[in-house]
Amino acid sequence: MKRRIIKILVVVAILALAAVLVPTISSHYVITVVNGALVFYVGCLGICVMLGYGGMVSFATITFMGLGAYMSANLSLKAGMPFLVCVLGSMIFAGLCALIIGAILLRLSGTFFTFSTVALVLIAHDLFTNLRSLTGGPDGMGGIPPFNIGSFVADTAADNFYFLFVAGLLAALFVHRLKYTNLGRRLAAVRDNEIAAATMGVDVYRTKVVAFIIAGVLSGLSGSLMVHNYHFVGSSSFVFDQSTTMVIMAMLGGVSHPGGVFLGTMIITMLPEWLKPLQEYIRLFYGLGVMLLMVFMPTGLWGLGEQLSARFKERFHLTRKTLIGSDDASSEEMI
Amino acid sequence: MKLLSRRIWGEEKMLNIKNLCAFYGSIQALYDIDIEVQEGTIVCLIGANGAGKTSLLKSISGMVQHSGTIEWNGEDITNYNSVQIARRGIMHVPEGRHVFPGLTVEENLEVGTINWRGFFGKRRDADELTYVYDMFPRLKERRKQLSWSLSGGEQQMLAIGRALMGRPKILLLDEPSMGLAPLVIEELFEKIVAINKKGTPILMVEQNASMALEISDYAYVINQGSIEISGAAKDVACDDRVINAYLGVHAGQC
Amino acid sequence: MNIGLYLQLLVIGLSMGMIYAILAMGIVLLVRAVGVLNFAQGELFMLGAYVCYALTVQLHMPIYVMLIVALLIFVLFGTLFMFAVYWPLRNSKWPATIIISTLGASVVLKEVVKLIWGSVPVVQPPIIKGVLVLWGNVRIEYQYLFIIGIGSLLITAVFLLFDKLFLGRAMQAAAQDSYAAQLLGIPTIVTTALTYIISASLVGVGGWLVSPLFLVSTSLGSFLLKGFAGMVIGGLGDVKGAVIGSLLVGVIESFATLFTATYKDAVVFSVLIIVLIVRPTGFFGQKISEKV
Repeated sequence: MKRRIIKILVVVAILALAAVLVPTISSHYVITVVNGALVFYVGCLGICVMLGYGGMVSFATITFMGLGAYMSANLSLKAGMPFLVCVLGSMIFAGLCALIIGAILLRLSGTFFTFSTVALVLIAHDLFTNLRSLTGGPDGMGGIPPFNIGSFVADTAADNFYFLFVAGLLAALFVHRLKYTNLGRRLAAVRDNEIAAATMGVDVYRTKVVAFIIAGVLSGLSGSLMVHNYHFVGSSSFVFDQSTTMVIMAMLGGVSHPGGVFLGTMIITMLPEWLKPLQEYIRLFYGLGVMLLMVFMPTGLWGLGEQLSARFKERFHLTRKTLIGSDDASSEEMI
Repeated sequence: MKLLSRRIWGEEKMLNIKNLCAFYGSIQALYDIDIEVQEGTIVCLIGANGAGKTSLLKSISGMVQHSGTIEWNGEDITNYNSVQIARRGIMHVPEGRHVFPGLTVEENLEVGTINWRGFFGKRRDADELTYVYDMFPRLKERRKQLSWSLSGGEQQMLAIGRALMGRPKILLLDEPSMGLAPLVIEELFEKIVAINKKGTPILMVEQNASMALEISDYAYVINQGSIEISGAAKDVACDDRVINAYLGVHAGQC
Repeated sequence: MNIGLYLQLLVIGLSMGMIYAILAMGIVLLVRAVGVLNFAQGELFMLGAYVCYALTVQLHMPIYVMLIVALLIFVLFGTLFMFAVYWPLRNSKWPATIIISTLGASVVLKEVVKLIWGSVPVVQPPIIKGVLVLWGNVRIEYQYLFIIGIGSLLITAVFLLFDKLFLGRAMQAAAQDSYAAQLLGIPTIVTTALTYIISASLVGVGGWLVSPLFLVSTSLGSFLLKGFAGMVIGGLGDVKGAVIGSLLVGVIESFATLFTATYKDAVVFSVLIIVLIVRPTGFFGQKISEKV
């Protein structure tokens, strides 16, 4: 119990430190980049829920970001709604769309479902580009008002940071807690063995749809944040390539942990900055990196960290000796 | 001629397993198992679920990590892969039947000949097909039927028939009675005895101890990965420990 | 009733449908063999187009030589692909890892092609030049008929392989139950590699066939989705259904251009969605439900 409290205090301390330090000591440019990462982070948390918790590969994230983004843009520009209303509106809209779309697409099993989400992204991108009245077409919509609560209006990148930081934190906490709820457990059962889960009375279809909706809502939130951060939205942001990038972000860090997803998002966002001379080759590295990642580190950096810390603990003081052995034996193969 | 000379000279150990240990990752499933299968006999391995029975057969077929020695007719086959094992006529009928669902009965049987036919050999399985259809007339009736639509018992017969197509020098049966109704099991075991009478030795792993002991010549009892009891099947069947743990009642002849 | 126009549209539709069918077949073969969707299928298709472009236009090989060299390259690629993407992950606990790995592979292929040939699309001259003119004003380019012809040949050849050849049955067996197949002595590494080779070669040739009609560009991979639509409409996991479904998709798409040019993709995918709602297993699909 004590250990847990210490852990929580450490995490809180680090977060508080980050919240204060980052905007003050970093240059304007760095803060902008970090903000961009935070925007995607919220969307990637949706991937955490779908793929990490639920084992479903879905590329729909980027489309729901688009839906949330355009809804937010329209609400603020055309209806003059304050920021919080826009955000909520986007989330609800995205959630409703996710309900309908998810109900249809999740009738397909596993890999076919994945493919259908790809189709979704392409169709949606087509629609985003062509429905000018709602989306501004390929030129997009500009002049979207910044973050604001009451009289506090975000003028600078540092101001944006605070909003994004809070949003990211809340989303992360939500996703983290989700794991320990009934839904979280049902999702895990579905991920590990659908048929077994069904025989245990889990409504597999419903569980999946709910997960899809949650991911949709998170993506909608992400889209809304994006729009108020950049004051602009354009259909070219919502392409399939971007979706794959987000999946890579989530997987790199460790797709089943909000913390891991954060790491992955940060690294992938920073990468183009660090590797400026090698810009051309970046996506090539992504591709190769993903392939290698799947073979050597499917649990991502977070998983690697967990493994290392477990070994570290064993070295320096005895942990409770496990009776069965290490984790990597598959119990299905046994006898 | 070979078979006859062996019978004259005394019982030949065909399959000789010593100090076998099996591993799933870091979990050990078998601890120093010694098993022999002699010419023309039926040997059974009985034990509870999770005791290690399937691991034994998987080790012989090269499907699971193992250490120790496995000898087949004097040849050391311990580290051979599944293709090499099958080529030597060691046919393993897996637990749960595993018929090829999208192929017909006859196609399933045909695929069973791959270990001696190879991918491109000519089709010369008429004799083997006749043998299997004589042994399992119901398969002949259903020869053009897709195998997923067969009943459990029929699928088990198909799985065994498929193994027979491979000109087996020994049959490894993994829990043939699993999931089958008692009457079906009886019929199935009669067939197993018939196959054995035609000269094929059988190493059978079973949870249904009473039926297995009834038809076997020798028996081993495995518990938590180790052999606890071994001997002639009728002796094992009368062993009190076995009766208490697996049989429940005295067999008539003890 | 403008029969001439309808005939044109039908021919175009069938020929595009053939291409989608080839793609769909490539996917379905792999899904049945290894149980996972190959995201890079479209990129292998694109690669086929570029390889053939390089051999014909850049290296000026005569067509028959080019075909043989191209096939050898596809065989090589299929094998390499399997070892890079599938083989290391074949025993992985999460099938999602294989899907993501194919995703990575698709990105790698796309980027490599971009680095070698640049982002600007290139032009592949028609394989068969000329136009068939009926009734004075109905023009049907021979290229389309060529695609229909070669496509049918390829698809028939694959069907024959699986139907008539023992090797084909052994491959099917290994796909349906790899454990039992291994116990019988089927070398599943060989059968899997063969499936990958057939799949890569099929779509590679498909890429070649389609390249004179569309520019050879890195976005050729998006054809995959129409193949997928065909596969769903025709019946999931069923090869015959995938072919028929894809031909249907091609024809629907073609006739949709009568009404709208920009939204023809949307029409196809709307049909897809309707089929998904009404009959998720597709028209010909017969799901053999998993054994518990």
